[in-house]
Amino acid sequence: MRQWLIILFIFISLATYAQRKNIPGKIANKPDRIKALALLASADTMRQSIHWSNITPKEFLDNLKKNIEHPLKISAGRSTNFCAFGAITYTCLKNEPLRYAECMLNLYQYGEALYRKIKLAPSETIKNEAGLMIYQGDLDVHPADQVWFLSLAHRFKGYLNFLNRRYSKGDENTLWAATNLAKFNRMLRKLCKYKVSSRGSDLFRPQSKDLAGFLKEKLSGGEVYLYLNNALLRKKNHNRVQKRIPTHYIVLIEINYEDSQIVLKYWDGSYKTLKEVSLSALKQIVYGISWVKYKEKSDE
Amino acid sequence: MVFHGLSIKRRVMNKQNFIFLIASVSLVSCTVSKTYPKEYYNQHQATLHEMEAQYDKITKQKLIAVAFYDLDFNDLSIEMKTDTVRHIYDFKYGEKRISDSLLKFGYDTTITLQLINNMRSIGCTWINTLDYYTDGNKKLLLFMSAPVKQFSLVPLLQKRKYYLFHFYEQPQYYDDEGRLLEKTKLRQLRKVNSEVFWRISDKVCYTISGKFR
Repeated sequence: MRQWLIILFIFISLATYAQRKNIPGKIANKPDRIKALALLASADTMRQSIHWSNITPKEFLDNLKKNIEHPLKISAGRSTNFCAFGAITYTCLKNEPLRYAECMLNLYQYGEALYRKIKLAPSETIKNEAGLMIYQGDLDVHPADQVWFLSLAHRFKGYLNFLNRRYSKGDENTLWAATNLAKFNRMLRKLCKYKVSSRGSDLFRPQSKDLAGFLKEKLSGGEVYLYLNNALLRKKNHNRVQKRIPTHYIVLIEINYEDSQIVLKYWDGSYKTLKEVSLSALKQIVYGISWVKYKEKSDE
Repeated sequence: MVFHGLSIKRRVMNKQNFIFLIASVSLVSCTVSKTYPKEYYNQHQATLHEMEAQYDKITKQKLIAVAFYDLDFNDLSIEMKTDTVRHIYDFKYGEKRISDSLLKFGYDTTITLQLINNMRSIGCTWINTLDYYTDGNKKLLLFMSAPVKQFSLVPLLQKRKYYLFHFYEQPQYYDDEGRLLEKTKLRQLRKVNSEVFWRISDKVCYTISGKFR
């Protein structure tokens, strides 16, 4: 009887441990960053991968080094649908650069890798196309970012990808790479193992009497991601009828407001952007809010 | 009886003609001739190149982008880029705050206001730099856009079109049809935001797009 109780205790302890969630730090994880850079330095003699024929080890390592040193400069491309993966990468590079570096080195050397328990095993088409992307701005010359974004888009699927599940050249601009809110939250939960809370949906905006106050409150306690209608935030045409759907993910960094004028500071792929919006405009553009709480005390 | 039959036939014919007319007008209002961007360029060539020079002076140290958000050219948005942050502010044309903000971020106020005036005078909705890579080297080009003057029976549902102009520092390669080519692979078309560009001069090319930026 005693033995059974001990076994039960161990089993429950293990199960509880497995359920424990990862929590992002308030500031960038510096010790991890130093270890990641040391790891990259030790991989300096890495050979040309047989899996990624269009990417030289030097280009790959230079790209990784830049991402570790300047995590906010990572670009998700000019006209791609990688913005959701960009937002996920923001938190990966900020909080666990070492895990990111290890995963990327394995992905280059073996053609597949684990990020936590998530297996990234991109298709042959992706392996043949990575490194060849063009007309995407800074992404053109960052082959490791192409590998990472394409691998994530291959691994995670949502209902928006239903009609186009297999990658073919140029699909980074199509629904193949699109991300709905549930898929985005799932990526945060599985990849980073966060306890994610969320409001809103792909079609209906979240109802909040004090949206700005709500965002400020969530931001003071953790990381906040917004799923919004970019056509209204940064107009790209003068059509009188604008599409009322969310199209873009950003990482909210700061929000300040006075009366009905709000100043948003957000990370939007390679740039921190500061933009003034009215309260009514904010209510119009925000469709989804996802947030993750910080650690109570930083153990760095 | 025969008279009644003829009347119905005529009504049907009239209806068909009306539908045909509506369809033709709609089709004509949706398509944009390739000669129009060239006409626009020729008409405003001096101002466009003056703006190019002004923009060049303003952005020697820091990048800037200007957009007009309405077609009355009263609401404008200025993107001022420092090393780490892109500041986007919305203004009304002629507002004093514009000069204050430009000054605060260290831009040449006089030239920038002249540039905004020029944009307004020729109906230019967007000016910015765009980065692109050839042989792994980063280069910048100047990007301007102007709305196409379109007729629409249903303005509410009208989808706007824009002339997009790219101003390169160096002469570019084009094929026999006048399409912009990649420098390194001369058989490959260079697309920007999935659009094919057409020759106006060695350094200037255009396309017609549904987005002004």
